Amino acid sequence: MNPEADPCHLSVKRRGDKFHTLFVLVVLWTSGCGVPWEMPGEPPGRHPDNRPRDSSGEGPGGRRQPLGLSPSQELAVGRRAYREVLEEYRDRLLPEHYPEVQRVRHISGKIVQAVQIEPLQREINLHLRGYRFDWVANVIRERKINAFCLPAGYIFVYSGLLQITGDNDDQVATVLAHEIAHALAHHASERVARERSSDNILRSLSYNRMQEAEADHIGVFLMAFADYDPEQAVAFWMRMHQVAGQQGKLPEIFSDHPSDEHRIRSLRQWAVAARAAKKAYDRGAIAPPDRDRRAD
Amino acid sequence: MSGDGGPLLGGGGFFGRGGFGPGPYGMGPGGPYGAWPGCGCASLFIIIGGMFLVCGGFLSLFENMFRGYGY
Repeated sequence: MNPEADPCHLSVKRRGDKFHTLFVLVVLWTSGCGVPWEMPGEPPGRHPDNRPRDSSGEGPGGRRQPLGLSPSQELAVGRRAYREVLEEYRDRLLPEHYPEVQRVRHISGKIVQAVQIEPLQREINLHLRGYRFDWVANVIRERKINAFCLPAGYIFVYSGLLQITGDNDDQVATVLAHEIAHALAHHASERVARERSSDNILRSLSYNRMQEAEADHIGVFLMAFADYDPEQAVAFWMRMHQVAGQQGKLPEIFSDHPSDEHRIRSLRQWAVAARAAKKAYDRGAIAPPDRDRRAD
Repeated sequence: MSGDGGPLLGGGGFFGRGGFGPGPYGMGPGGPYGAWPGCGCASLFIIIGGMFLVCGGFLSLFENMFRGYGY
């Protein structure tokens, strides 16, 4: 009997062809879903002036980090903002020879020196090649308990913060390292990129918390390598809680740097890791540079 | 790896991975924007695709076996 002439066989063959086609289509569809998606509106891994980013396209800790400013733009933004802040606070800037200013510049100078340690840059995955940082620290005579760092390394500390930390240089280093970390991680540039691609305020808020936590994380590593005690970061934020209790209101620093148990717990873990990293550096346990990555 | 078995500085073993995911500052599956595919889900889809391929191959095999019996 000729199987091709059997109507039952022919109908089975047709169903089999359709089934086979369906399977092929499903396989192609699922494989296509495996292609990484770009967030709508995100820059495709290039600087706005169309120069390609570093080969990894990654930020601190290897995370994906779109940037909205080229190195030259970041420097220009920082310098312009610095001029504006100097103009706003020109009557309240402490002179350079004041002990508070010398102290802040000494501590920030040690942290900036630690940033130059190449294995530390690789450990954190900081990308600094092509970027210029002017690293200037100033003290503003005002009771605010806060500090900030503009792009390209312009640091400002309010005298109110120095009154709280007293003689404890490690706690001053906590704040300075945190602010310097924002500049090193190009957080301002990242926020420009995010704001261009998103108008969702909830995303913006969660994203800010991530940057604050990342600055904490990078900050304790900078502290350890600048020979400050990273455990003092925990003590500093617990001290801030005490101050809040005494004054009956949250210091302004909390509005930008909300603190909670999760943050304290994270800082403790990161301080341990930072100490271990410094010990590894001191005994020469350093990984060779990765040939496939651009050296920054 | 260093002689004492600990991580070497510069390899990310101390700092760890940051940003997305359920880490210290991760905001949920897939990152701060919720469960977006393309980061972690890619492997899952590829595995499912592979399973479909295998199933399809077995079904073709059974189909050919039934043909051979003249049904």
